[in-house]
Amino acid sequence: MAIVLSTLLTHDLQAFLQFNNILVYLHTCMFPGQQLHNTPESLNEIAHRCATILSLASTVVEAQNFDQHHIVFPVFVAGVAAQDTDAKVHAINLMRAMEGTGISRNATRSRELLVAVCEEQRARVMAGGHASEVDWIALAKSRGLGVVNFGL
Amino acid sequence: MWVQHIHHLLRIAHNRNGHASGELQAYLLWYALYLDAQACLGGNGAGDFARAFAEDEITLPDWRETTYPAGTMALQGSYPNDESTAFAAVYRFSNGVCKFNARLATLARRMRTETSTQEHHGFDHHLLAARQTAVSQLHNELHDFWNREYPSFLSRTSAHAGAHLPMLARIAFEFVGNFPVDGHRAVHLADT
Repeated sequence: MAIVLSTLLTHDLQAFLQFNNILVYLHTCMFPGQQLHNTPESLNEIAHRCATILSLASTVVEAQNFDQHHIVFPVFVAGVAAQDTDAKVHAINLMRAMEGTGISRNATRSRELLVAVCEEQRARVMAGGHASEVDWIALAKSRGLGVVNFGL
Repeated sequence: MWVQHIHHLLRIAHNRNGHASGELQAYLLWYALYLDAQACLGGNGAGDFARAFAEDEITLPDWRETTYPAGTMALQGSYPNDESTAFAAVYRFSNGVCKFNARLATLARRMRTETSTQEHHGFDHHLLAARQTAVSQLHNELHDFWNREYPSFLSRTSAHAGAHLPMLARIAFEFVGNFPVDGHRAVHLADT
């Protein structure tokens, strides 16, 4: 059977998605309050990489390839880490489009968790604090919104 | 229960000792790694499978051996003439990204564990400095790896491919993603 190597080319987009996801997670989610200690340069890079993730994920969703449930986690992380409201809304909408995919309700639960995190971040800012003070892993556990595995 | 399943799969991975695996076993092991790392990044599980892979305690099946026995591949298009060279480059790249994801999950797990034990000791400047150093190191290594190993022929040609990747190759790429094989690339990849 002849295999066309060009099939692998289709992976370069997702490879880039994953590359950006690792970097965003690495600079924002490793421990509570991590973002509070990032430099302005790091914050700019995180914003750029979040925008890239959302753009790439939009391409997947627009192509209606809903079996690509593994894009849920990068989109979730980008939604949590992004500083501007438009990016967060974009992430929530992308996750809503992915609901009903995968083998469980993880996309729905992930979207519910992202909404809760964004609301908590907004409340923290309104109270004079910083959105980055919100630790999404702790919030998920405290509210019973834990997602067993975003990749399913 | 989740941890028990992962430990059983980890035993299978240890017992391979580098021997060839059937496609089903290879599929299970790669997917176990993917799920364990994902769980770890979500603050769940112990991450033992990801840690074992990150620290080279185990190696996972080479999807080229299982999916493409020697002589069954034929390349089309403007790719390296030697199929083994081309697939080796792709395999090395995908395996490397898997390793970085496993390292990320392992480091996140360690830092989260530290956090839970430090909560009663107040802010620790030394701990923060150590964490920032570890983050910077992984960041720099990932950038270096990406610039060194990203197969040049992947980004120079069209992504409008029609054939499908075999399942095992797809699983191996779960860490680096598997974009719709019949899809059209609508965005241009920026520089890294």
